[in-house]
Amino acid sequence: MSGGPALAIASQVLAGRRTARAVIEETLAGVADRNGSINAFTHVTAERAQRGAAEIDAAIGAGRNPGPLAGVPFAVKDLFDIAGVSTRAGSKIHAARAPARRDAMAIRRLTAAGAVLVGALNMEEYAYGFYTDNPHHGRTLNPHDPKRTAGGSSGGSAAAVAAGLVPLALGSDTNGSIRVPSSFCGIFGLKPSYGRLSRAGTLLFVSSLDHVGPMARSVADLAATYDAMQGPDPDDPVCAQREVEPVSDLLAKGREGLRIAVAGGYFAEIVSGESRAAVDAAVACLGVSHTVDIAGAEAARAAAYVITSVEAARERLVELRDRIDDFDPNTRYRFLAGALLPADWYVKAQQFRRWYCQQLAGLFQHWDVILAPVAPIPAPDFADVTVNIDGTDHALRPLLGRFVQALAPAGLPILVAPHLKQGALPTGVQIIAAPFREDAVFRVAAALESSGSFGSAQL
Amino acid sequence: MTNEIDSIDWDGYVEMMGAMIGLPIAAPHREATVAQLKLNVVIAKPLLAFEIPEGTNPAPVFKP
Repeated sequence: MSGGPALAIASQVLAGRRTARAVIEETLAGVADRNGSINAFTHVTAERAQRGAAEIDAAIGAGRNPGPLAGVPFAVKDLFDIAGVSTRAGSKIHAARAPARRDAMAIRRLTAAGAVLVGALNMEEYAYGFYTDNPHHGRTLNPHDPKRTAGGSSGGSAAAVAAGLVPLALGSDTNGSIRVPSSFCGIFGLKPSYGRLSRAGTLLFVSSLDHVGPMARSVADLAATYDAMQGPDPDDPVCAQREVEPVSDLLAKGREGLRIAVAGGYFAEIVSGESRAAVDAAVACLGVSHTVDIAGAEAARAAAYVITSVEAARERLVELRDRIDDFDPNTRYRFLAGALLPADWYVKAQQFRRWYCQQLAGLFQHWDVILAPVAPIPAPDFADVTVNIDGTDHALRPLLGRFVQALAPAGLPILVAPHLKQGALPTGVQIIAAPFREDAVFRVAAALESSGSFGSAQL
Repeated sequence: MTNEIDSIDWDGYVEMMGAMIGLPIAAPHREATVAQLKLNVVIAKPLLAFEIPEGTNPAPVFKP
C-alpha cells in the first residue's frame, strides 16, 4: 500500500530531504494563490504554522522523531477550536466570541503526531446543510467545476483537500457532512463510529449524532490521520473508553475474508446513473453478489431529521432568543421550528433509533461491510433547484441527504471512496460496517483504491 | 395529511410553545416558522407512522 501526498511529505521531512518550513511556506503560498478560486479557507494561521514547522525541523535536527505526520499541513472546519482564534462555526453570531483558549483535542493529537495546522475552513452556518453556501463567508466552489457546490457542511474541508491546498483536513458529520462533500469533491472521507474520536473543543450541532473525522486524497493518508486521532478523552463524555486500534498496518490485507453485500431497496431507489455506476463499480471490483435490505431506512431518515431539529435548536436556544436576525435565513426557521416540536416526536425518534440499531446489528452478524451510494447525484449546480431522475423531478436540497441521513441514527463507521471515471464528476460510495469496525471499512477502501477504479483525481 | 395539517391552529401553537420555552416568535418570523413546522409534519410522517415494538427503550439510555 503506497502512501498519499500527506505520507509522502512526512517521509521527505523525516528523511531530511525537505524541511517542514519549506513545506509550510509552499502550502501558505498555494493557499494565498489559489484559495480565491474556491473559497475554502476562512482563516489562515500562518505565523502559528511557521512556528510549528520550525519546531518540527528543530526536533529532527536534534535527532528526535516528531511523529508519523511530520511537517504535514492540515486545516480544520471552522467549528474546531484553534487557540487564539474565535470558533465561528460559519456564523456571524459566534464571530464575536472570545478566542479559544486551547486547541480542540483532534488538533492537539494531530499536532502531537507532527502535523502542522494552517487554518480554518468554510462550512454551512452551524453545520446545517449540504451546500456550503455561507451567507457570511461566501460559498465554497467545487474544484472540479466552480459552478457546482462542494457539498456540505464540511465543504471547505473537502474542497481544500481536493484542490491540493492541503493534503489533510478535518470535518464533522452529523447527517452526512463529511460524506456528501467527500463524494462531491472526489476524496476519501471517514465518519468514524459514534464516540470513536474525541469531539472535545468542537462546537456541537446535534450532540447525539455528531462525529468528527478526517478527509484525504488517499486511503493511507486517511488511515494515518485517523490513527493519530484515536484514543479515549475524559473531556468528551461520549468518547469511548477504547484503546487505540490502528488501521494503517491492516490496509495491505485488502478485502480478504470480509463478507461484503450491497444495500438494495431504499438505497437502490432514486439514484442517478452516475451514483449507480459508482456502486456498480465497487460491486464489480469487490466481487459482491449479495444484496441486503436495510429495514426502516425511510423512517430512520425521518428520525434523524427530528433528532437534528430538536437537539440543534436546543444547542442554539440562547442565540435564537437573542440574535434571531443574525442567523442564516436558510436555516433560521429550521432552528425555530425545531425548538417547538413535540417531545413525543423526539422520544419516538430515540425509540426508533434503538430498534434500528438492533436491526443493523442483526445484519452485521452476517456481513462485515455493506456498500451504498453516498448521494443520489453528483455535485449539483448552485443554480439548480430540481433534478430529474428516471423521469421524475425531485427537489434538490432534500434529496442530497437521502442515503447518508438514513444511516445517521446508527452511529456506524462509514468511509466514502470516490469513484474515478474519465470526464465525469466525482461520485462516492459509502463503505459501512458495524460499530467500531473501522478496520473493515479501511480494508475495503484500500482494495477499491488498489483496483484503480477508485481514488482522488489529480486536479 | 393536508387536512390534518390545516386543522391545527398553528399560530396558537407557535405562540403557546414559544411562551413555554421562553422563545416568543416575533411577528415577522411567524409565517416562515409555521411553514417550516408544516414541512416538519410531512418529513416526520414515516417515523410517526412506524410501528415500534412495545417496550423498546429510547436510545441512548442513561447510565449512571
